[in-house]
Amino acid sequence: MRSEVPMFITLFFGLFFIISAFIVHPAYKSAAQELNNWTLIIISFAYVLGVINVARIHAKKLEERRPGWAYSVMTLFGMLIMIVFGIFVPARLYGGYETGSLFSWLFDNGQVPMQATMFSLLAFFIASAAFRAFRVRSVTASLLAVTAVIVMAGRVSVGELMWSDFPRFVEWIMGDLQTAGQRAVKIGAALGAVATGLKIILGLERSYFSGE
Amino acid sequence: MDWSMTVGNVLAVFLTLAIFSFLYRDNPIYKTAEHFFVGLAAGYFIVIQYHTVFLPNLWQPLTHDVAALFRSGQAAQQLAGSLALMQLGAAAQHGLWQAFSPDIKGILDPVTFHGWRLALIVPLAMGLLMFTQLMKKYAWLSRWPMAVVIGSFSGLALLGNAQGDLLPQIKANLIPFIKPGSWTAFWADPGLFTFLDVLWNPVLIIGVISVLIYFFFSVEHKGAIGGVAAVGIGFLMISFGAAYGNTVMTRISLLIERFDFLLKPATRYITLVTLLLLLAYFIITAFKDKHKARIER
Amino acid sequence: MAKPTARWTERLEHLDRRIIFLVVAVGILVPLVAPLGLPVTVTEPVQAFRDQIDGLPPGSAVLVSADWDPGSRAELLPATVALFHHLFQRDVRVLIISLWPAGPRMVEQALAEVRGAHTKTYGKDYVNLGFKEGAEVVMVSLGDNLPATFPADYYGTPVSTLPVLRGIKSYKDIAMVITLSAGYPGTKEWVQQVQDRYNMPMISACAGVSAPEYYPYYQAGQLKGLIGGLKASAEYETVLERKGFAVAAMDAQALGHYIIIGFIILGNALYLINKWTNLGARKE
Repeated sequence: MRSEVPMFITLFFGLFFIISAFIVHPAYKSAAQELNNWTLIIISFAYVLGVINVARIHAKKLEERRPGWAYSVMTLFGMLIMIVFGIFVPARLYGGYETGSLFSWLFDNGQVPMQATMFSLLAFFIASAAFRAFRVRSVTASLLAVTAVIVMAGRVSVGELMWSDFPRFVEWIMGDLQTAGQRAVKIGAALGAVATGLKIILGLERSYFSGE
Repeated sequence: MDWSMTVGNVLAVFLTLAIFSFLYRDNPIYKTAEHFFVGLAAGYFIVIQYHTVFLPNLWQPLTHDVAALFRSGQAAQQLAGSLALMQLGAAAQHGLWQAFSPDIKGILDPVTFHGWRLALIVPLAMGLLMFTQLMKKYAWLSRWPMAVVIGSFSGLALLGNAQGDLLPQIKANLIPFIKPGSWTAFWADPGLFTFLDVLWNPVLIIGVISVLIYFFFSVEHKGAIGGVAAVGIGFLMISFGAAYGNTVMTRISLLIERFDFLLKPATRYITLVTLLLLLAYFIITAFKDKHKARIER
Repeated sequence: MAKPTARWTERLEHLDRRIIFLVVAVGILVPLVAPLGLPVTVTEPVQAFRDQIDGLPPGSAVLVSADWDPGSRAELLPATVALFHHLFQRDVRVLIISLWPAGPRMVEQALAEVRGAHTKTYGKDYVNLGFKEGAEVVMVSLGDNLPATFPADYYGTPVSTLPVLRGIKSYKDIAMVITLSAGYPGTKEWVQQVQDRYNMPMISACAGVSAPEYYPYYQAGQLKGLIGGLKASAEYETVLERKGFAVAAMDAQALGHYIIIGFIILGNALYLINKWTNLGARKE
C-alpha cells in the first residue's frame, strides 16, 4: 500500500497527460478537463504545505528562543497580517486582495521593493566577481571572456557609436554562434528529461518516495 | 495629500535601503527587513492561492453550485437522466453506437451534469492528505497526493521535451550545409555580414554535432573524437560567454530600476533622510563596537 | 621577521569589495542624473515581434501570459507596458493570465500605466484572468477548456458574464500566445507544451538572462519574435515611438556594462602582473 498505491497513481497521471495529447474525442476531453482541474487543486495544496512549513520552523524558533528568534517574530507578523487582511477582514475595513486593501498596499510598498532590491544586489556581486574571480587562465576561458565582452559591449548604445553595425554583429553571435551550443544542450537535456520521465512513470525511479 | 501613498513611499524607501545596507555589512536592519519580506511573500502566496484556486476551482463549485443545483430541482432531472443507462440494454440489440444516446452523453459531460462537481471531494481529500507530511505517524499518506504531482509533471515533461525541444530542434538543424543563395549574395556584395550569412548554416551544423559529441561520454575523447569534442567545448564556451553577457545585462537593469525609484521626485528627499539615518546608525554602532573592544582589552 | 609589504598591484588585486560596489553605484547613478540620450537601433527579433502583432486579424483574441514577479520588474514591466500600448492600439481582445503568483498584481501595475491613454473597456476588450497554480498543467488545461480553467477573473467575476471571452473555449479560438517570461514556468514551457502541439503562433518577451536559451526557438521558427532584456525593450519602445523607462535606462545600462568590462580587464591584468612578478622573484 505504502509504495504500490503511489506508484499506480504516478503511472495513471503520467500516462493520462501523455495520452491526452493524442485523443481528441469530446467525451474524453471533458473528463480530461476535470482531471486537469483536480491536478491543479492538488498542486496548489503542495505549495501551501511549503508555506506552512516555513511558519512551523519560525514558530518553533520563537518557542525555543533560539538565537535570532526576534527576527522570526517579523516573519510570522508579516505572514499573519497578509493572511488575516487578505482572507478574513471584509473589504470595508481594508480587507480583501484588490487595489485599495491593506494586502495590496503591503505588497506594493513592502514585497515589491524588497524583492526587486534583493535581486538588484546581484549587480554588485557580479561586478565584484568580475574583478576578483573572473580569471582567463586557458584558451577556452578566453573564448568565454571575449564573447562575454563583445556581447556586453555590443548590447548597449555606446557600442553602436563605436561601430554602427555592432548590434547586428551581436545578433549574429546570439542567433547563430551561441545558438549552436544552446541547441545541443537543449537536445541533450530533452533526451535526459524523456528518459527520467519514463523512469519515474514506470516506477523505476522512486527516490521521490523519501528514502526509497 | 495622499497619506497612504506618502507612508507607502517612506516604507518602500526604508525597506529598499535596508536591503542595500547588506552591501556595507550584515546588520540587524537588513535581517529584520529580510525576515519581514519572507513573511509577506509567504502570506501573499497563501492569499492568492485561496482567492484564485481554492475558491473558484474547488470550494465554490463544490458548495454553492451543488447547493444551487439541488435548490432548483435539477437534481431530480439529472437523476432521471441516469436512468437512461437502462437504455444500454436496448442498445445492445441495435448496436453499440446506440449506447451513446444524448442522455448518456449528458451524464458524461461535466458541464451539463453538475453531479460531477461532488467528485471534487477527491482532490480536496487528496490535498488535505498532503498535510499528513507534518505528522510522523501518517506521513506516508502524503505520498498519494505527491504521486499525483510527480506523475503529472513527469508525463508533461516527457511529452513537452520530446515534442517541444527534441524533435523541432533536431528538425531545425537538418539544413543544407550552405544557406541557399548566400554564396551568390556574398560574391555579389562581399562584406562581413554576407560572409557571416555564408557561415550561418555550417556554424549551426558543426557546432551542434561537435557539442553533442562532447556530451557523449561513453566513448573516450581521444584522437578524432577528442578533436571534435574540443571544438564542441569551444562552442559551449561561446554560449556560456553570451549567457554571462546577458546575465550582466539583467543584473545591471535591476539595479538601474531601483536607483530610478529612489531618485524619483516623490522619493528623493525620503531617500536622502533615510540614507543619513542609516549612516548615523552605522557610525554609532562602529563607535560602540570600538568602545566595547577597548573595554575588553 | 617582519612580513614583506604587499606591492600596490597585489593590494589592488585584493581590493575591498565595498569600493567595487561604490564604483558600480556611482557609475549607475551619474547617467540617471545626467542622461546622454544615446540612440537605440532596432534589431531583427524585436522588429519581428512588432510585425507579428501588427499582423493580427481585427477582432481576434490574444492570450498574454505574464509570468514574472517583482524580481524581474526592471526588464519586464517596460516590455509589458509597451506590449499593452501596442495591443490596445489594435482591434484585438486581450486575455491576460499569469502562472506566477505575483503576476496578476504586476499586470495591474502595467495596466494602470496604460489605461488612461486608450479607450478600451475592461471586460469587453481586455481581461485580467489572474493566477492559476500548476504551470504546465494549466497550459495544457487551456487547450481543453479555457473558461473551466479560469472560471472567474482576478476580481472574482464569473467569466461567463464577460463579453471579451464570448466564443473562446480553447486555443482554437486564440490567434496568438504572447509570453512575458522571467523563468519557470515561462516561455520554454509554453513552447514545449503549447506551440508545437496546438500549432500556435507564439512570441516572447523575456528577461535578458533567459534570452540565450530562447534564441534556438526563434531560429527554429517556434518563436516568431523575441524581446530579450531591457535593451530589447528599449528597441520595442523606440519602434512603437513610445519611449519609456527602458529607453531612459540605456545610458546607465551602457556605463554599467563598460564598468564590468573594465573590472574584467583590470582584474586579469593585475593577476597577470602579480603572477609574472612573483615568478620573477622566485627565480631570483
